[in-house]
Amino acid sequence: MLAQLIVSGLALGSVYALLGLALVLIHKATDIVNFAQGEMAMFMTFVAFVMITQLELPLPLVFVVAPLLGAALAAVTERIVMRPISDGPPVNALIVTIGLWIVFNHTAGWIWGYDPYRFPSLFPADPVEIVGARISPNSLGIIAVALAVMAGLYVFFEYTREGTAMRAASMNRRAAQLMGVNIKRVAFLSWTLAGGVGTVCGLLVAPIIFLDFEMMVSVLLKAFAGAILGGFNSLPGAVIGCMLIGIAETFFGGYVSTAFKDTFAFLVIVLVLMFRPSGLFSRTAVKKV
Amino acid sequence: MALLAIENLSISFAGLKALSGVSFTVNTGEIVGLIGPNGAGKTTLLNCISRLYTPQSGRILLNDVNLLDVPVHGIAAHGIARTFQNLELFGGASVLENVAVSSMRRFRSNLLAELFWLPAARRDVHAAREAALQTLKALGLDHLADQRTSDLPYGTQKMVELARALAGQPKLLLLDEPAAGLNPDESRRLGETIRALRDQGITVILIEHDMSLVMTICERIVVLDHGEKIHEGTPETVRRDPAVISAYLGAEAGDA
Repeated sequence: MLAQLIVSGLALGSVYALLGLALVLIHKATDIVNFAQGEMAMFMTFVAFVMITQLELPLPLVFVVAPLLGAALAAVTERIVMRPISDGPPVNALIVTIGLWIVFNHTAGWIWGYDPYRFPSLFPADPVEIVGARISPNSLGIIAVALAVMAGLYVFFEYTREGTAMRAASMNRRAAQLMGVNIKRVAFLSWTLAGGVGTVCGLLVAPIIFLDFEMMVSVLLKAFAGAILGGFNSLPGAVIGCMLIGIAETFFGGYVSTAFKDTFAFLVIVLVLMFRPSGLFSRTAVKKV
Repeated sequence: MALLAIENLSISFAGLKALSGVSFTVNTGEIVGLIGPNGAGKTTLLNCISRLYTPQSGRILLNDVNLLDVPVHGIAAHGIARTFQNLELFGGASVLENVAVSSMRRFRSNLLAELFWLPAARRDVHAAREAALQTLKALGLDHLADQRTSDLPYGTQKMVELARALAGQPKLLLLDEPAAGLNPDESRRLGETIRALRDQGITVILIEHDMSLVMTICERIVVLDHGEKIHEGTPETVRRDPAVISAYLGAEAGDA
């Protein structure tokens, strides 16, 4: 039971972590929280569903194409909607992302209706016996895909010029600009990356919770909780925070009750913001003067 | 030959004139001092040249290119680098990374190569890091390459900021109070470093309150007061100019 709970907790945490990463990516680059991140992922998962059911594309191919399209959708959204208001106060942009949430949500409902669909999983569902524990291959697959995405992001940010420029911009926008970093481009790339990563999250979560126009709402809430645990400005912090949320939620559900899962996430958000506003892992909570 | 020409530059913030009608030129290979009492507009002028601010009127010509047509992120490519009065480093990153951000501009493979981490992209990053390390070596900072920048003492951080500026291989270097917070010995060595940079062909504009440093290394000095140029000349003429003396001694001298 314990091993099972840990693995499914990590799988759930991986899903949250992908969306958490998408949130933190955009926040680091632009100081904006994209409330529409989950809805964009949901929208793209419906697009993937069309590719699977109507175009009859093989599932692995959909897992490659859909995130690329998700990246493109986010890129276009950044160019058309976010960039024109990027010089205004951040709160304007924040409200616009809430507007985007509603737009994507309603558009999905309008096109695909309000019924849940069964979404195929890339991995077999029947549990396998691993050293005495019955582990779902789906959980292991989710963890593997998420880890691969994270490794890719790590390499991009640590070892490429563009990634380094993006990190520099998130640390000091003014100085980065004077080193030749175009922060508008950084914002654009962050949205693009976040769109792709968010779509992977949608594809992984849909087989577990059914594809439905509201499927990402609770995922977004958990991703928020995890990202806040990690300080909201650190990609590794968001991953660890979301993993903790996934494990805590699974254990809570396994041993106590499944009724308060979402309340639990909210509680985490409130408690962290009250007692550790810069996250569990920040070196110093107060800026040195 | 003039590298930089400031022409009739004016900027005001909320009706307060920070610079009004400032003009002067800087020749290639010169060290020009920019001095004046606090609030004279020195940093504002540097912010205009580095395009953080856009002046309301006037022109800034660098080799006959109007810099006002260049976006902030294009300034480095035009050969301008700067340091800041209050450090503007990438505090969470290592010293080498700080400097490499600046040298990376010179090695750019395309985005696709980067996204798929192709050999060309990897080579570029390697070359940029190597260049950054060379710059650190030249300033005697290479032993700190892997240190977290924000953990270093203030004076060392100032040198890292200078290294970062130099890694962009600028033609024009803007230094905003580089000696502030340095002890006299560090300050003297900084003066030698700035001279050595000039000898390598880098033109320098220096804002500094340490008058002995300014008087020793600057060929020409521009004096600002209340956003206006009140004097331009050699260290000797600056020292004797009555307007400069009264600006520095301020109203007390006049009132007394």
